[in-house]
Formats: sequence, C-alpha cells, structure tokens
Amino acid sequence: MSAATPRRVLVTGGTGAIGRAVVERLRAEGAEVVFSGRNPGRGAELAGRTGATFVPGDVRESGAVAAIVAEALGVLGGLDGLVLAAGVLHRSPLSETTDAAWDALIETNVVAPFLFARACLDSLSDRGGAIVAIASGVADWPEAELGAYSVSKRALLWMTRMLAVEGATRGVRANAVCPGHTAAGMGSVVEGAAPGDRTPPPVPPSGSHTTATEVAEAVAYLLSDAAAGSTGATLSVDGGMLAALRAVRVRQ
Amino acid sequence: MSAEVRGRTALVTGGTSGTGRAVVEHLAEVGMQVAFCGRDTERGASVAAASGASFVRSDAADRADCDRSVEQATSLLGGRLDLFVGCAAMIFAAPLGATPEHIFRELVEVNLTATFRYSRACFEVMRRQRSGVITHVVSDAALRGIHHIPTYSVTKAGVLTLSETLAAEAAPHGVRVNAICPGAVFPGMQTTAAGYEHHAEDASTWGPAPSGRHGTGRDVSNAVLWLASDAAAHVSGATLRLDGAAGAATRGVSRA
Repeated sequence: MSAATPRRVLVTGGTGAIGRAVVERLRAEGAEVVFSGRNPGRGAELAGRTGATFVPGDVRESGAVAAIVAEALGVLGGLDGLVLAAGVLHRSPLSETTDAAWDALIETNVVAPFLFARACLDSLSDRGGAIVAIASGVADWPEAELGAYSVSKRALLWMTRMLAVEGATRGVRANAVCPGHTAAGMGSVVEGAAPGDRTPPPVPPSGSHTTATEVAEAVAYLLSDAAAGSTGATLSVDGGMLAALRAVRVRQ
Repeated sequence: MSAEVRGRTALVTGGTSGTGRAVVEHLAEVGMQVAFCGRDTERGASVAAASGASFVRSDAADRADCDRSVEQATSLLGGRLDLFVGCAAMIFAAPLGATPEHIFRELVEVNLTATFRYSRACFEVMRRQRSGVITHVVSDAALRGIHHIPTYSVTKAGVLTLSETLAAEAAPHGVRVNAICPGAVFPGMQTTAAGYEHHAEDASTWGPAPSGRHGTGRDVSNAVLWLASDAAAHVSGATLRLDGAAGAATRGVSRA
C-alpha cells in the first residue's frame, strides 16, 4: 500500500490523539505532511520527531482556516490528501448544553471542516486527491449524554457524503472514518465535563476500545489508491460496537 | 384524534409560509390553541386572521428572538405548552465548493442552531409539566443526502440526530420527540438567503413520487396531529418518512 499513499497531505487537529497518530502513520509511509493544531508544545514535539511541518492555529478563529491552508500549500506545493481530524467533545445532554459549548462544537466539528474542504477542493482536484473526515460512531448511534457532539458528527458525516458526490466529477474522493468508544484521553473536551467524570465506556465485542493507531490505519487506507473505488463511504473502526448495539431498557 | 387534542396548546415555528403555515391552520382547525413564529409581519398577520392562531414575530436567525418568542408564546398560551412543531428552515441550492461562508453559517444557524434553541426551551417547559410532544419537520435530505442542496442536507442530518438524541433524554420525563421527513412537498421551500433567490427550490423540475403526486402541507400536518395524539403515546425517537414511497424507490443515477 505504501507506494500508493498520497504524497502531500494536510492533517487538521494534528496535536490531538487521532490526528497525531495519522501524522505518524503518514510520515512512516514517506508522505509529506503539514498538520495544524492548537497545542504548540505537542505540535513542536510531533514535528521534531516525525519531520512533518506544524502550523499552529485554532480553527475557530476567524481567518485561521484560510491561513493554515495557504501555508500548507506553500510548504507542500500542492495537495493530494486532506484529513479532517480536528474535533472537540462535550459531555452533556442537549437540555444542559450551553450556548458556548454548542457553538464550540458546531464551529469546530461542522463549520471548520466545511471551510477546509472548500479551501482545498481546487488543489485536491489537480491530481485526484482524497478527503478523509474523522466522524464518530455517535453519527450512527447518537448518545443522549453526548447531545451536541452526536448532532455535530452526524452533520460531518453527511457533509462527507455530499463532498463525495460533488468531488466525484473532479476526481476527488471523500470518505469518513467512524471510531467507536475510544481509549481514554483521546478527545479534546470543551468546558463542562472533566475527562475524569466519565463512566467507563462499554467494551465492544472485540474486547478492547478503539485506539488512535487503529483509526490512523483506516485513514491511511482511505487516502491511498488501494481505496480508489470508495467514495462517500463510512468505515467504522469500533471493534464491532455498531453491529452489537442493543436497546436500552430501564431497570425495574 | 382531533377531539382529544382540542384545547391543547401548540407552538409552531416557520408558521407564516409553506408547510409551517399548513400545520398552524390544521392545528387551529381542530381546536388547538396555537401560537406561531415567523419573520414576515404581514404574512403573520394574515395567517393569524385566517386561522385564529396567535402570531409571535421572531427571526430564527436571531438568538434573542428565539428565546423571547418561546416565553411570549407560552405566556400567550396560558403557561402551558403541549406541542412544539419545528418547521422554520432555509434552503440553498449550490455545491459546497460554491457556497459562501456566510450562507453556510446562516443555514446552520436557522436550520440547526435555532431548532436546538427552540427545542431546549420548549423541553424545559414540558419537563416541568411532565408531559409534552416535540415534533421536528426535518426532510428526506436527512435520510439520503440530496446533492444539489448539500448545506441543507448537512443541517437537516444534524436536526434528525438532535431529534433522536432529545427523545432519549426526554422520555423519562414524559416528553415525546419525533421527526417527520417529508419528501418533495409542493409548493416547495422558497426561503433562501437574501439576495440569492435563484437558490430556492425549483419545483417545476420535480416529477411526482411513486404515489403519483407531490406531498402537501396537509400530509405533513396530518402526521403532526397523529404524533401529537394519544394514539401515538408510545411513539418517541421515531423518524416518519413521508414521501409517497420516493425514498423506498431510490436508485443510482448516472452522473450528469
């Protein structure tokens, strides 16, 4: 598969756990990688270790997306792949979701991916590129305790499908990876819920929670020419959780 | 069905035109006390005069308006809210690559964020009552994306998940939440971004559903009434596709 990995890739959210694993995986294949992220310390560390280029930036800030894309195009001289891995989590039911948390999720998980995709479409079209969005299992099975997050990830999944149809006439593929319950510490959490608050997520049939490395493998596959026949697809990386969903009943 | 909902109270958004207007008129016709929101004062007054429902002027793109209008409507309805119907929406027909940022944001705000804010506020009232019904008029674009209206599809997919998620949260409080996904409803959705009127729906190109016709506002309001009735007492978190079998008869098409 290595020869077919795109040469030049922009990864958003590269300082988060999944984004970082994607950067590592693509660099191991020899791709040229630019990644954005909010955490300068983690960005510098990852860049130093892998040779990828770090562009610090918060996708919620006005003009940040355009600046990141411009810098990536400058460094890479073109674009073959875009990985939308920037995302934030908020652990709250809808009725208790504040305006600030709602806005943070919609801006980061829905509006920013739209802006990135729109800004990259022309460059990706030049050589037949690929977009991979990191959605979530909750796009399929919304969770009441992750109200706004579920909404935002469903919207992102739908956007990926829309991009697939739109990109198809321009040689651009767009696919989504839906991680299931992930190993602890993977999500960037917005105010309101400390990561320590959470009850342990259910264990999928495979016996262990999804890891960032497993998600990165799926991303590398969907970016590569090995996946040339797939666009608008959703690849679950969830240890079988989607297949094993059960209705919740209240205990008497 | 109509006898039992007589006298119950309802708030409808997007009630000054299209499907929302049909819902307002039908609910009022069966004897519900109805308040409805919309942007256009003139149309609002005309719907109010024809139906006897109360018009609360409100722009779904204005957050303060949303919050205020729920309070105002609840107060007009005597402090009780039995039914909320979310109909307000806006459409834009262009590829994502050709959709301006401010238009994308406007559709997210009107279709998704306003629905969230109205639902959150109405659920608060219903939770205190320990009863109530919330019905979101979504779209078949949330069940299969419609590629010439991608931004609309993205926002409606979000609304469908919002509806399901709220249903799970609301069920223990005696509140039911459901989604209706109409297919092509004639006369089509005309609300599009100001200055971009040609991005509204063009119903002249629509063929009928396998049922032989287009959907109507009355089809949707019939479903709204059924979901509000006690006959639907155990229906929550449901998605009702209402499209004359159009969604059951999809097939791949060659690219243009």
